[in-house]
Parts: sequence; structure tokens; C-alpha cells
Amino acid sequence: MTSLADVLAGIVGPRWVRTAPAALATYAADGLPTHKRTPALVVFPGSADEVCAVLRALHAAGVPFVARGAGTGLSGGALAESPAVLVTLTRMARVMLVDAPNRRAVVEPGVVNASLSRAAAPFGLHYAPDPSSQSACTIGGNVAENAGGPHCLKYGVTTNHILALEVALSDGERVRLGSAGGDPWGPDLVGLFVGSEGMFGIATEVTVRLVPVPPAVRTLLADFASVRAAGEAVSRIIAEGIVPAALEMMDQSTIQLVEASVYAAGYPTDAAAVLLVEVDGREAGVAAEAARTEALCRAAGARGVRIARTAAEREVLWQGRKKAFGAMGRASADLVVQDAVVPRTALPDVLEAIAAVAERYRVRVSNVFHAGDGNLHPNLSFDARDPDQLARVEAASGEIMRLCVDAGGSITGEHGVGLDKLRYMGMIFGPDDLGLMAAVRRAFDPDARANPGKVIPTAQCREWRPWSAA
Amino acid sequence: MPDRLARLSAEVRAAAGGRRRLAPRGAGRWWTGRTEGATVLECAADAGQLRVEAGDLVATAGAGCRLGDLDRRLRDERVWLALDPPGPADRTLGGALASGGAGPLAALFGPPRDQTLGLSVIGGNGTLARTGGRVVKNVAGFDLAKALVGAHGGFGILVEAHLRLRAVPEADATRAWTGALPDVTEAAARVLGAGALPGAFEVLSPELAAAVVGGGAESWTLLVRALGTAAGVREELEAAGAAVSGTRVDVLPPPGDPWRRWPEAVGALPVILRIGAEPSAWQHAVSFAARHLGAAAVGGAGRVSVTVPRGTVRVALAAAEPGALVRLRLECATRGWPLTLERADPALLSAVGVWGALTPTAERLTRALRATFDPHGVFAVPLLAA
Repeated sequence: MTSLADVLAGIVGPRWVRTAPAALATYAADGLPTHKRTPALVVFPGSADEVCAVLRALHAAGVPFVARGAGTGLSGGALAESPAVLVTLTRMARVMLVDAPNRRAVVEPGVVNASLSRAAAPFGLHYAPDPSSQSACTIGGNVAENAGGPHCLKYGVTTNHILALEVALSDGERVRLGSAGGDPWGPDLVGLFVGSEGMFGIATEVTVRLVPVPPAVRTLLADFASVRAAGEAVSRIIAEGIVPAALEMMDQSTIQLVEASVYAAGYPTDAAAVLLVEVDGREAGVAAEAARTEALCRAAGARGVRIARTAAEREVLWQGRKKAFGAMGRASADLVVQDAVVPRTALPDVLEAIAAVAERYRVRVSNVFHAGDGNLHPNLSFDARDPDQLARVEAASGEIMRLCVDAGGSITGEHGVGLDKLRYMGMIFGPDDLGLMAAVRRAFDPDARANPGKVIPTAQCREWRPWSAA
Repeated sequence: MPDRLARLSAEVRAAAGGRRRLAPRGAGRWWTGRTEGATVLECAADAGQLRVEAGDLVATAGAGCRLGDLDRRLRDERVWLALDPPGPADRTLGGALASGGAGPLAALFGPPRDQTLGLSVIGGNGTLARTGGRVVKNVAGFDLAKALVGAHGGFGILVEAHLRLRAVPEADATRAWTGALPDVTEAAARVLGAGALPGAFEVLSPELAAAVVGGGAESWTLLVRALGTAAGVREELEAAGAAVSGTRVDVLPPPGDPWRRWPEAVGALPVILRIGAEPSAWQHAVSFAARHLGAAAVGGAGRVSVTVPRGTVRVALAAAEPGALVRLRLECATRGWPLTLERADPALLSAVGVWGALTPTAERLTRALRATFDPHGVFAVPLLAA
């Protein structure tokens, strides 16, 4: 009898199917160290046709599957547990078209985020969503998770930049969603698909919106003696009607870890918090916004405000922020990069509460986050080999989620639910809300074989109520 | 569940149980006429409570809230909502989100779906469900609001929305140029090619320009609006002016406030359709519309408005033949452009469908979604022609 691996090898070639335990172990985790799952096998299709053929074969065999890009996800969203097959899309990495007059590009899902902006640069355009992992993460993964990034404050997150998709449904059928201009053909199936965490199908082609590279940029670093003062500066900037391209905050623990690493950016190590603010646009407007931002930071109590004078200085300031997670790797063997959202004005109170949680559970928590939109990233340093530490990190994470929800927030702003946040979904959604989500998923994937076991909790069989019977 | 929602829920449940069909109605200012075989379900009797958190740039409003009232309340707190669909100011928020049509502000801020952080909806089984949340960034669970905004009430009754607000900018100004359609087309392309990111960037047909801009706007008219700091606004408009120099368009005096007049001027006509073309091809969509619906109707008495950076062409007409609309839709489909019938009387909507010319798989998904949200087929909204 022909094995599934043989069938898939017949589609993609034997070289692109992995079954050896050592090879599978490579794909047992993503960027989140607390979850591991081993797939039955890994297949690497090289084209949309091959993706569809693979999914048809899996449909015929009744086998579930999980799509994966670069594996940089931070919620365990791209983990597959046998008998599920992992469909890895990194071979599909062509930028197929940059259409400058229409400010759009057509790409395969395995294109790395940063390389898309590089391809658009000669046309004076760029792809705005910029997750911290942008040098590795793929557009397909960004679509699945509705990824964000520091510059999403002004330009919007992934969903605001996807015009059209070609999707392989779980039975291998191919469908085009959306249009080249972005208008939907019926209900907004593109908007619905973005952020569906691979549970509606696999995007095999993505049409993205590009935006002009701003002619002028100013990057400011403001340092504060208290997190509360930094939070006040954020509120003042936003209330003024200024929309910075990015408005990022780092706390003292993060600053010290960055400055002790090879990514040192010259942040003041005695500051309780720093704000990294970037304004962009045309020259005179940017100069006015930068001056006003500096004044607002000083009025809120900034001890100092530094403006990058050159592109190189700007790069260094951003390096500290974008590589902060890497710098944290020096503090411990493992790191959980948490993700939650709170109303912006609640940031100071929530940060104080997080500090109290960290103390209670004896866990080092370093905060680096998108202050402009209230998207927190508390980073918990620990050693996963120590069950006690792991348990304390899990408990602290749960308390942090609870206090963010109690502050009016949400359990994830850009990393997705995946496996990690399943247990928190009940904090923000009721049984009917989750029941409707499950039903909508089945409109795309009636057998629920695409990325099973994610987003909608089923552990106790009572988290959600079937929608049709509700 | 609040009493007002419990009442709606009970009515939907009863209709589902009795195999009756319902025609949801807000203020009755957009969809007019009676849908045959359906009972009108009044949804806007109670606007609910408006909660504004200006510091967080979010608000929560009942679907019955009137757009004009909402705008006034928000501006009192120095914030605003980038939602300017066609229609009168006493349209309801729920109706505006259900119809999903954007206005000129979509050029920078995106369509209504991008202003919607979360929704509460009563599905066709009478159940209240929530999606999204009250924060500006959120990826918890599937983003069902995307499917509901623009579904014309065919998936469920929108009862409450969490909205993304903006702080009122320091400056807000508009410049206008007028000329023959080919010249305005070229001018618009040059502004776009110069890297413009204006708040609004709209081309208006002569009849619409006369209603919206007045004062000498007797031909096709290009409007560019900038919002931000005074220096930034001045610079954006100067850049637009520099981009169009050398083209054969004439500069108009700065218009007063065309954007307040635009929604009523477009919404004054009973048939409105939207073509989703590309930013570089919108003029061809206008030509298609003129060919199928009549040059006099489209370029003359009709009102055409193009959101250039999105390639969206909106055509408002006094009347249209179903056959002509279907032929126009099919020709648009050959270019990959969807045509949405945003507004028409029930008979025309039933004949043409709000949506059409979907690929078989997209249509299957659409029907499956509709059957999911409304398992008993309660809502009498002709989304797809029979």
C-alpha cells in the first residue's frame, strides 16, 4: 500500500518530504518555547498547484494539516501534532509583481516580510507592517496572524494592507478572494481570512497594498524617570492629533538588557522608561511634528530628548528596540514573549500591576511595547528545564492576561491565539461568540482539518455552544 | 442582555420558528420601499448609550445612533470618526456599517470595516454574539466584523459597534482643480505618482462637483484634502499643486467644506452602485458605466465620485434598468472588478442582487457563510440574485 509520504513525494518530489524523527524535531516548535508538537511529516510544496495537490491528497486521506512559514510565530499557532502534516511554504518565495502605479505587489506566501519592502524600494514604495521578526517572518504567516509591528500605529496592521488572496481550501480547491483594488466581491472574505490563523485554508498568493516611502523621517528617544510620566507623554502626543509612524516604550529592565548586549543603542540605563517616537511624511510637516513631540515629552517630564541626526543613528536607535527580544536571550535560557492589549490610558496602572505579578511569582519581566496602541509585550525570562520556573511563568502569564482583560483589554494584539492563548479565550468571549466562530470556520473548512485545535478552546467541551442550536 | 436587544432577539427567534422573513430597518433613510413577503423589523427605536473614551480613541455606540449626532458628540470631545458614507446625516450607524460603503475618507483611513473594532450582532437564530473588542489592536479570535460590515444586514442585525476614533487634527484644508475628464485623469495620476497620502483624494463628475464644490466647478473636478499639522497640510497641498502643474486643469478657489455636502449630494439619488477598479484604471470603469447606463445618465444628471487611491468608482443615478446593471457588472468582472449595488429599491435589488458575478467557489463560500449566520434564512436581504 502506498504511504501518504509516497503520495506527497509524488507531488512535490522526494526531496521535499521529511519523515525522519531528527528532521521532524526541527519543526516541533515555533518562537514560543513552552509548547512542542511533532508532525507526522513535513512537506514543502513549491507552487500553488502543488499546495492544492497536497491538500487534495490530505483530503482524500482525511488527514489534518498545518501551514507554516518561517516558524517565527509566538503563540504555537503553526505547530502540528501527528497525524497532522506540516505544510511548509518557504519554497514559495517569489515577489511576482510590483505594480507601482497601483501601489501594490503580488507575492507568494513564503516571501520574507523585509524582502518585500526591499523589492518595492526602487519604486519609492514599501510594505508598512513590520513585525520585529521581519527579517525572517513570511507574508503568509503575517496574513495568518494579522501581524502588526511598530509602524502599524500610523499605517495599520496586516489586514489593512491585503487587497486580494488566492487561497487553497482544505479540500484543495482554489479560490480568489478580493480584487486588485481591494474591493470585495461579496462579503469581505479577505478581511475574514486575514487573522484566521491558518484555520480557513492556505494563502497561496497575496496581493498587498504598498505605501510611498516617506520623504522625511525623524526618530526621537525620550527618557523618563517613571513609567507613568512616559505614559503621560504618549497620551499627550495622541491627544494632540499627531499620529507618529511609531510610538514605542521600553522599561528599565529592557533598557538594561539591550545596553548590556551587542545591540546596545545608547539608551540611558538609569531611565525608568524610554519612548522611541518616529514621525514621517513630508519635510516641513515632519519637522513641525518632531518639534511638537519633543515639547510634549518634555512637558510630561522627560529628562532628555535625543533626535537621531543621521540615518545611521536612527538605525542604532531602532536596533535596540527591534533586537530587544534577542538581547533578553542573555538573561535566561528561555523567554516567553507575551502579547496583550489594554486601553492606552490604562498602560501605567497595568504596568505597575504586571510588576507586582512578576515579584509575586519571582519571574523577571521586561516590558517592550507599542505604547501608541496599548499593545504590551511583557517578556518573561526563565529556564524551561526547571518545572517550577515553567509553572511560575505559566501562572504569571495567566494573571497578566486576566489583569489586561480586567482593564478593558484583550489577550492578544498581534501574536494570535494559537495554542498558547486558548485557555484565555473564555475571558473575553462567551459560548455563543465562540460557537459562531466555530461555525464560520466550518463554512471554509467543513471537516475542520486546517490547523486543528487552535483559536477555539475545546478542552472541556463546554467553552462554546453550537451556533445553529443556540 | 439589555431589554431592547432581548426584544429584537425574541422577534428574530419567533420569525425563525414561524418560518417568517424579516426586513431589518434602521432610520429608513437608505434602503426604501417594502420587501415583498417580509415583515419590517424596526431596529433603531433605541440608540443605546454612547460611550466615548477620547484618551483611548475608542467609542461604543448603539446601531441606532444617527451619524450626525455621533459626529457632534465626538467633536465635542475633540475626536472624530473617519466614516463618511453617502446618505443623510440622520442615517443610523448600524445602517452605515451594514451597507459598508465608504466615503472619500477611505483614501487614507480605509473603508468602514477599518473603523470597526468590534461588533455585537443578532444572528438569524436570534442569538446575540460579539466579535472584536474595545481596543485599537486585537487579534483574539476570527475577525467576524469583517464579514458583517458590508453584508447589508443579510447576515444579522448589527446592534452595537466599538469604533476607532482619531484626534481632531490641527489643520484640515482642501484644494480643487477642474477640467475635462482626460485632463483630470492625468492630474490625478500625477498626484498619486508623486507619493501623495492625502486624507481624501476624489474625482467628481460635473453634476456632483456643482452640488459639492459650487463656484465654477462645472466640469470634472479633482479634490485633494489634507489633515494634520498646519505645516504638513500646507506642504501636502503644495505638493499636489506642483504635481498637477503642466496638466490642462484649472485651479479652483479653495472650496468651503465640500466634504460636509458630499454624503447628502451622492445619497440624494435612489440608485447607487460601486465598482472596485484599480487606481490606474478608474477612468475605464467610468467609461463602462457610461456605455451601459447611458452617457447622459452617468456624466450628466448622474453623479460619479472616484476615490482615486483605492480605484473605487461610485455612480449615483435616478434610475437604472436591471439588464443594464447586470451587463455592466459582467463587463466589470472581465477586468476583475466587483460591482456592488449599494442602494436600490427592493425590486431592483432582487433582480440584480447586491453582489454578483462571483466565481463559483466564492459564491459557494458566500452562501455557506450566509447560511451560518442566518441558518433559517430569516433576513430578507437580496444579497445575490436568485
